[in-house]
Amino acid sequence: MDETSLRALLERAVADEPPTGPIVASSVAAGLRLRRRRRIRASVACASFAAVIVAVAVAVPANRTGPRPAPASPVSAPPTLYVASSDHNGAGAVTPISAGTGAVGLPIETGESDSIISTPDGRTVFVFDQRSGSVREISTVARTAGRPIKVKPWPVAMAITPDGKTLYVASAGNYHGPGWVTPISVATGQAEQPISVDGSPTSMVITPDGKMLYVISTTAGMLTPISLAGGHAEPAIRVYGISDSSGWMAVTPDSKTLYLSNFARGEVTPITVATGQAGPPIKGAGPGPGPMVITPDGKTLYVLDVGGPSRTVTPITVATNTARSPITVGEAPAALAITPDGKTLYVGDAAGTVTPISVATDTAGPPITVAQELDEIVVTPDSKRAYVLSYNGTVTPIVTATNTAEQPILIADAVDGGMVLAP
Amino acid sequence: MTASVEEFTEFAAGAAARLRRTAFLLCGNWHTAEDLTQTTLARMFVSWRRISRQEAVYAYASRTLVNAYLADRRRRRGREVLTGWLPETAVEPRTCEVRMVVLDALATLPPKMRVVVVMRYWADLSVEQVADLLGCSTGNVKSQSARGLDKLRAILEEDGTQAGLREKRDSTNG
Repeated sequence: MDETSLRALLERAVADEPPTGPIVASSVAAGLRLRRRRRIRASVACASFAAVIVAVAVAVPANRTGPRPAPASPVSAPPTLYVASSDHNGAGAVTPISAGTGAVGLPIETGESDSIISTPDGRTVFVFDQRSGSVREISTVARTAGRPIKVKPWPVAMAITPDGKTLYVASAGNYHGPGWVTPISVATGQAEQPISVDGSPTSMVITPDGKMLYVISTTAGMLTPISLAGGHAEPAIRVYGISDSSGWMAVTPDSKTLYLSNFARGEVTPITVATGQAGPPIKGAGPGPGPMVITPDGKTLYVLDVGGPSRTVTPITVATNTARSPITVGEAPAALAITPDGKTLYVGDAAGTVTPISVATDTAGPPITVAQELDEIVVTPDSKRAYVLSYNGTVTPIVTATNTAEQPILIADAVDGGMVLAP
Repeated sequence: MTASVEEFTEFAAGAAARLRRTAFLLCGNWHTAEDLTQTTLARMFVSWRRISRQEAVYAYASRTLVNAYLADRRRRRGREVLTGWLPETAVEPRTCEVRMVVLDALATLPPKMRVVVVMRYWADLSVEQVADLLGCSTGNVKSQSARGLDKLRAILEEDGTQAGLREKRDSTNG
């Protein structure tokens, strides 16, 4: 058999091709879900302790060679939003926006940025660039970006410990071998010995008590716990049905339970942090459970259905791990955020509306119109404003007291690096 | 819809059919092929603004598809029972029979060898391109290619599929 006849055989093998589904539209929808998941991944690590963060402005210059001194006298000031964007020439910047006045500051040149995260004190913001496999540290005081810090190839997620001392960067490697988690000292900017994990990581979260880090590798179907005190990976937990379209995680504020939404199997899996044991899967959160958020009091887990036409967010009672009645939201829900005071859940959708939901009554209010192609939502620590980032390059403030949108703030032609709120 | 989404939609509309057929030859069923194609395009959508600046967009698509296929194989490993013989197939018309025999023969190849064969002889990639795609040496691609062809030849000649193909070609030409 020569190459020509093999080619002819292969042609005949695909000859009876059945009609295709709406593959382009479904790919765009799946791509949007992946983008949003990346944003959620970066923000989830901070979300659970955001409520207790006190907004401070720190007038201390960046110190790249050793630990930074503590601020002498913290001064209350509004937090700052940092939005990562890239232009078509491969350049990128992080743009600061005052969360109090909406004033846009001068962009900080960073090179390409695929994700962004802030330390709990807001003094340092990190971005990573997948293509170069590097992380950049940005001093929010000096408004300058440091040199690239090399990590393992193809970084996919970041998480920072609650004490703000260590940044962890998960890398997918080459998708054929193991994945990696690289610790980076926030004080010195030095990368430490990477930790090997099974498969290629796609998502990562740190428990609020700062003791454990969990890495999901969808290629291996594994959830790997890493003890942060010991700096080593513990035996991985196999989670069936994890696919590239799933992998969202949320941890209760008491750090006792990790929830994993399993998009492919249409369920949410509770995992006891102390034992690493998975409990019975929770059904009833829609056909495609996606991003999740837990109320600051730890009583309710909200799960967004991003897998079907149900257009719902489902509350789950944490004490019993049972789903309550789903709440209808806008078409193609994409992102959710809860106010730190625990009163309101905001759910944004791709069509460009944000639905406010009363946490006390699980009822939805009138939708708020924002820009289309919604990416993510963050809420200020004082719960007074929510900010909505859209891929079209705008940030829309929402006044939470009245649930009304203010004038959108234009950042760039398009934004695909995410947004973070630095106290 | 932003310009980059429009651009991506245009690319995906043009590339989807070819990707789906390649995925089918890699995995052997159309449902998984559609899933792999969607995964490939979705991953490309996420970084489209960056990818679209590169010259070799289709090469990027091939790499992403192969990565998705190999990852899918790894996930399925342990949940499927591998056997050393081919499954019996139902009696079907000749055209379907050829298709089934070819797919069954491809299914006997290990995943990476199957990638090499499909990408070399279906997607028309060079030895160097396949080596780059799999992150291995050109020598490795050549040896996998030769072993894959040998294996397919042995199965297909035993089955007589090639003879049937030759007869059909001859009758078409004649």
